[in-house]
Amino acid sequence: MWKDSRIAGQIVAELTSADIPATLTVLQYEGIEITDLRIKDELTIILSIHKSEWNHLCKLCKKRGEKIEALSHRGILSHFEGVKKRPILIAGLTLLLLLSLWTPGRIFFVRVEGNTTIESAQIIETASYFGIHFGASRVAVRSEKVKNAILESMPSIAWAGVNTYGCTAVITVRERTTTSDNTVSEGVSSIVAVADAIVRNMTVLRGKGLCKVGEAVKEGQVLISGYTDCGLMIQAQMAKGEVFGETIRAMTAISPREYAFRTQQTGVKQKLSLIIGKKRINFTNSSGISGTGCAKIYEEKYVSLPGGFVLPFAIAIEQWISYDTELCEYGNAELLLRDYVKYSIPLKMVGGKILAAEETIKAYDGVFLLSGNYHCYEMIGITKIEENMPHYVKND
Amino acid sequence: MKRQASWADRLLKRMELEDESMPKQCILELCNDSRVLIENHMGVIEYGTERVCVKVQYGQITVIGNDLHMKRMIGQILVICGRIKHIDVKRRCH
Repeated sequence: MWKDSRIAGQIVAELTSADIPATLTVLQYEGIEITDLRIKDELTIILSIHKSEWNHLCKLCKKRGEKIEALSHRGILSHFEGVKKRPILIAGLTLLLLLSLWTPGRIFFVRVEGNTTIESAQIIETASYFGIHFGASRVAVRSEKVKNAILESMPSIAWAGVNTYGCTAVITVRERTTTSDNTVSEGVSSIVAVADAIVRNMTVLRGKGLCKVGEAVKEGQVLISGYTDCGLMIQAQMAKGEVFGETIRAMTAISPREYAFRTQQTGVKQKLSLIIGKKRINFTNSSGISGTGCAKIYEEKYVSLPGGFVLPFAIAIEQWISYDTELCEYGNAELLLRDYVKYSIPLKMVGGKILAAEETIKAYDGVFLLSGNYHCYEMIGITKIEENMPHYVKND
Repeated sequence: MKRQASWADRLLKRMELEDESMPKQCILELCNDSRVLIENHMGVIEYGTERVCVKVQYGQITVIGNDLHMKRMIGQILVICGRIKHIDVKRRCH
């Protein structure tokens, strides 16, 4: 079957003989397979024979005094034989094959995730001592070993993990968070008023209270002092306590009368980019600034090898969908402004609530303006660190 | 004068295998009017675009037509293609 098929390769030849039928009979008895035999003229025929029988045929023709000449070669193998004459192409294809077998098991890119204060380069450098470097084998990466090494060399990292995605190693870290309570643990501090207020409730746990319930205090006034006069000496310590008071807060909020909303889609524009590692090549040079009538859909398609190995090459597709916009008037602008103020004022307080409100809403050119005074009950004391501590003060 | 049947023919007749082809016997197959297969031939006597003559055991077979050409010749198998008009079987004189 292999011999019969043209995959193995055939030679188209021109045979010149004085007695064509006799030649064909000889070929028949010699067992030479002939296909596509055509007559050119009385003395010449064109035939196709298998490549392996070419030398045999040549010898026969020479013996019989006939002339045979190869015209062309046919078959896939014959085409491939032409490749043999191109060593650079063969070398390139071989290299490509070897690389395609070698690269999926190697690390070429290292990415660090989750770090905010620690430099990525520092983490990568530490990881490189434990097998995560350019060209390292993915199989040889020991996640636990790298994790322990990073945690040991960088105390500010609380947790670390190493995962490999194709040719990319991803080092995920979590940094230690420092709580604010621990920051003010030593020294001398007082509790001062955060705003002008009338003191309504006061609890002193440590330090000396300098105001009374019902007393009016100004912003910045010391409410609980960290210095306590003990007669023979002054004790300096961190003041601790809670002071609640009534305050007046003024607030202004603006809302537009109209807003724009999208109605129907008018067009779609697509922009392509090529991502290689951390580099991005944009095929379009227009800016990415979109108006209100434009929506954006962003998608990254990574190239993956069989087996799920993701290569660090991706095509980023941005779709810009433009819409028609229509202006519409706010029907409930007053309600929206009141809600906004209701939720934004407590955010400015340390802790507390609104007792009463005096609000006015006015409509100006294109906007609604809400201005109001809010009577609040809130915690007015915040801790203030005393910077200049006298030399004679004994710290407990 | 009636020809005497050979011992092989008589044996086949006795075994009721007259219709079966035996080894070395020439087989001629015609496919539509465009292809003819000749098996167990003994060589090409004449070859042309309008006439191909093949020697067989009992005489010769002549294929007449237009644009005749040999599609394949493997051992004793011969495939002739073209527009076949006429096939002539000529028995050798004894």
